[in-house]
Amino acid sequence: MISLRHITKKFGQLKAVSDASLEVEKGEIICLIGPSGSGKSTFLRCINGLEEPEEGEVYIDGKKVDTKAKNPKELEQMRAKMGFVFQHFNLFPHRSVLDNLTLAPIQVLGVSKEEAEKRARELLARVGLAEKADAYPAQLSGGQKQRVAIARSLCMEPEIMLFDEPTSALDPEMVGEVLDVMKELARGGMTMVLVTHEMGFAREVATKVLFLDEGQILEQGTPKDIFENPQHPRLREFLSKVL
Amino acid sequence: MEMIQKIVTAENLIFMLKAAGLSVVIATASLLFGTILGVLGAAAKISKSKLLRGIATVYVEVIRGTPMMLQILFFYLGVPAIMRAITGTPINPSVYLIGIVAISINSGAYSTELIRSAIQAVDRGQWEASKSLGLSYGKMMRYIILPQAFKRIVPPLVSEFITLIKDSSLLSTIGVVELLQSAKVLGARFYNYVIPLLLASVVYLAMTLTISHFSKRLERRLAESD
Repeated sequence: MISLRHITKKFGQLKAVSDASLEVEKGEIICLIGPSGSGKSTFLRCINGLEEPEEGEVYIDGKKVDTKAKNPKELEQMRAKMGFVFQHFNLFPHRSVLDNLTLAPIQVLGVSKEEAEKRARELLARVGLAEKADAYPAQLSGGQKQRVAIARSLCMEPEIMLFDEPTSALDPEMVGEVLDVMKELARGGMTMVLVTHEMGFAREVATKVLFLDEGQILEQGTPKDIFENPQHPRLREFLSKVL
Repeated sequence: MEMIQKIVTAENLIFMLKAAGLSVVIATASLLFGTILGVLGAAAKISKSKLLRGIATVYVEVIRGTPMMLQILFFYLGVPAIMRAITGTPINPSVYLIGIVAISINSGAYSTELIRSAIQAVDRGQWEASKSLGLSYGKMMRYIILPQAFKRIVPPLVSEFITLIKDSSLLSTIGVVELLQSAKVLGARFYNYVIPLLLASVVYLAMTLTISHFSKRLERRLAESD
């Protein structure tokens, strides 16, 4: 359903992503792993146009995505179908939790307020935060914020969920509650692409794991291949440090 | 003592307070129009169009880089002369209108920078989250960015209001009977400037201190909702 072909993204002289390609099929759960600064997040952000690659193309359902924003409408519609979960949550601090969830469905999809709220409450219950609907983001813990952020994305009924280090900014004791929500999503058949440092999660849930270093995809395969039989010396070195 | 009794009469005090009222009216109108100009200027400054950005930059730099007194005189002496040269008929706009136009345009330049920086100070993650949910630029601005920028805009706009109340005194030079001019009028009438100028100072202080008091309360309230 999504195809990234020969993506290259530079920040000044630095090549953050260099000629990287990725095919995502429906129902797949793809984990991008690698050291900090390896370009994983940048690569992920190219999928929904938060970064504009200098070279390469992104295809969604066979259709080329025009990130040059000649037609902003098209890009907006494409983004509406993809959930994006940030490392730092990026909830809207001036709006209640319920408003955070209903804003985009009402404004982008044109859903009625009642319907949006009904769905928002269902999703909040699903992430275990039904009682927080009227709270403001500042009143929540990190783990709760991230679960709200996931629910906010799900409110748009996305076809795919993108996660950019969703647990990296959390206190250790809050990582589990967020991973649980993500595992439940995975079990529900959601297509997911994640940048993560949670090797346990990647091993348990991923259908495919990609290892990036210095902007290049050095190795990819099933979790079994990557974690039990790594080929590339950089991957071996990386795994020896993180496992 | 005798002089104080002669000058500090109900009649003269009312004269000065009316003039103070005019100062407030001029400052309020200029703040309002200046803020509108500031919103437009800020929108131009953050737009993708090079032309709009260029126009806004020239506007801000020219206004901030020249004395306000010069700008007022330009609208008082220069603009009517130019209009006359173009249309061939003499025009005589009121000094109040000239004053408000000149101060609004001046204030708009400062507001442009103030509003632009408040918008750009909104965390990058807020822009990205809005985009990733598929919000259009207009809706992102309206529902997410501007409400958060607003909190940062209000306190400096209040101090801009205080500045405008003081700066409106420059209009005394073109014959607008605002607070400072009223003091000058009384001074000339009684051959004593000390008492009218002191009175004017007290009234200016009463206005500016009141506004900054409310401004502090407002800031506290805005900070609470964070």
